[in-house]
Amino acid sequence: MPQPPLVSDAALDRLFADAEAARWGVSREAFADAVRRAMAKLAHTSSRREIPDAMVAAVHGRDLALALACAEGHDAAWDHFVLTYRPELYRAARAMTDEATGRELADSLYADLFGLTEQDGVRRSLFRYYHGRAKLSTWLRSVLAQRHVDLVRAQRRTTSLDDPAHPADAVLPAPPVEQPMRAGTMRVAAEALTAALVVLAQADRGRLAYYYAHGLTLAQAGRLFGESEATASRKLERARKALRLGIEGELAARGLSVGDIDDWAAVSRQAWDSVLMEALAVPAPQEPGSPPFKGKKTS
Amino acid sequence: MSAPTHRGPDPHADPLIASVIRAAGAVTAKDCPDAELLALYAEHEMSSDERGPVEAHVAGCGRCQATLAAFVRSAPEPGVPEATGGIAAPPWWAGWRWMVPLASATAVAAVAVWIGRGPADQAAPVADVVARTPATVAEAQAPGGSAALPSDARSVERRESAGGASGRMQPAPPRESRAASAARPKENDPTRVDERAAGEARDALEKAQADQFEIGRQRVNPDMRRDAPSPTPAAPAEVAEAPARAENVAGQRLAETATSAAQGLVWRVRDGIVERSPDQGVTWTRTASPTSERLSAVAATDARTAVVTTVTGTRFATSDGGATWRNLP
Repeated sequence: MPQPPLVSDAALDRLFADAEAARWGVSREAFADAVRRAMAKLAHTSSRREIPDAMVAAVHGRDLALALACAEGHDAAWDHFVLTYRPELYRAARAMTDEATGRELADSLYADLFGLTEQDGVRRSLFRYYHGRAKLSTWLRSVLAQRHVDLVRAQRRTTSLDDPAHPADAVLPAPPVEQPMRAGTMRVAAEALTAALVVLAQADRGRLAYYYAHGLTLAQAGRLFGESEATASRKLERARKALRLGIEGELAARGLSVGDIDDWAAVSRQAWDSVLMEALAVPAPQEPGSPPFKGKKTS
Repeated sequence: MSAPTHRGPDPHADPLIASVIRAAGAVTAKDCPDAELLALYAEHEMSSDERGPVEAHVAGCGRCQATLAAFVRSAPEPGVPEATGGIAAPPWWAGWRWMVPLASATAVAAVAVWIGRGPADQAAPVADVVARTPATVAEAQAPGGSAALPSDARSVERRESAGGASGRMQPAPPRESRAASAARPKENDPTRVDERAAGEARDALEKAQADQFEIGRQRVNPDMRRDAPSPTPAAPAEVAEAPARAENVAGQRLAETATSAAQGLVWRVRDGIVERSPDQGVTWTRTASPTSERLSAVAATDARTAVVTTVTGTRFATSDGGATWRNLP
């Protein structure tokens, strides 16, 4: 069993005083326990038992005190939480989805934060998962994002196969037997794509995924990597070129070239289509002209 | 080049590519970092020791990538302060707003004395007023004047620590230059303030204080009482009601503190510009200006709503944090 982290009482006292936890009726012991739990998670990753005072001071004490008080059902704390965070939560939820769904999403989160479920007669609030390492507002937005994604994924899993509005993850019928050659080509293309993706650097895979699959702007994707928009653009272009070279290499290993794949546009209709289209410089399907890839070689 | 717009199913390609994407993101939810770790990762607030494993996981996890994407997409606009858990303390200058009418009355009295004298006697009182008034007014009007505004966090700390346990700055004794001191009329000086000017000053002061009281009285909603019952955490229906009651709590705080500081955000007007500070005046963000006229007052009701007044009395309101303004009749 791992040893509990060693947190100095002086650092805890300072944080407790700064957090003004007494305002919400949070005892010093309860507050210290919460800080120790946060430090235990941190110590787990760093393998050191003694926690420097600076790390304790970095805990968002006021947010933690508020969360503890809300979890305990302190009326004034809950009032303050709702007043301070409700507009921001609704705004964030609306930014993730549409108006109605966003409000529903935020309201369901409120219910869980409030602790409508009980276990052994004790109210179980979602606040118990907050440890004060991130700002409370940031944590709430992250929880909201996780719930939104899980909701979308669950809806996709339960979407009817007959629903034309959600064809993306539906189980599609097997390729028609009358076109075995085309199906084989597609399989080779997918294998080349898979292999090319695997050898890409983690960060490059992330850049491509955030930009193409998740629809982030360059500025937003760059924020995740701590980069400016210009740097994000430059690195995305580099990742795109690396993917293109990877696909060509994989095809060459199978005795093919890009020019042998007549119907890349069809391959790229789904999922990561834009990656393939741009990586291979394929004209968009709606653009009239010569078949894609014919005569196009790597730059 | 433009991205393809056709999204129809393709029986050949779709199963293959879907399987590629699914394989890349085939991580069960129990393996994912919790929401707090993801938030720290997205905000670059974790050590490299911690960041490495999270980054490795995210690179192959479609769920976490989608979560981070939603997290980033929902980030507040730059310049809009995020909420904080603590109740924002009123700015250090908030307790000395009454000094504004007092300083104004002092200035009126001084001018009245000056006007009532001969040219030869005018230099001395003017020097006195110049030596006294600016410091006092600047202290009282800190949100609108640059002289008394803290330029960095340390200066804010100094100012707050000077106020002792209350965190507010005590009024400094008025500074007086040697020249002004020498020129100041003595007690037995026949040119000292006459009774008529002093009476006018008292009237001006009383009027200003009455106006201030009236403004404060109007801001207090009669329904916002301290003893209003707080919500009892018992039933789901009450969760929905909680926000409205919580706003009443805010109303109390609004009336008690200052209208230029609300929800932890301080608004100020300076010349023709409006600025907001999420950190008690350490840093300021300029908003769009509603007018080219000089602004003289600001009253904020929450982090996004405020009314500013020009020196000519024109009022403008914003409900989106200063991005847009509308002229109030």
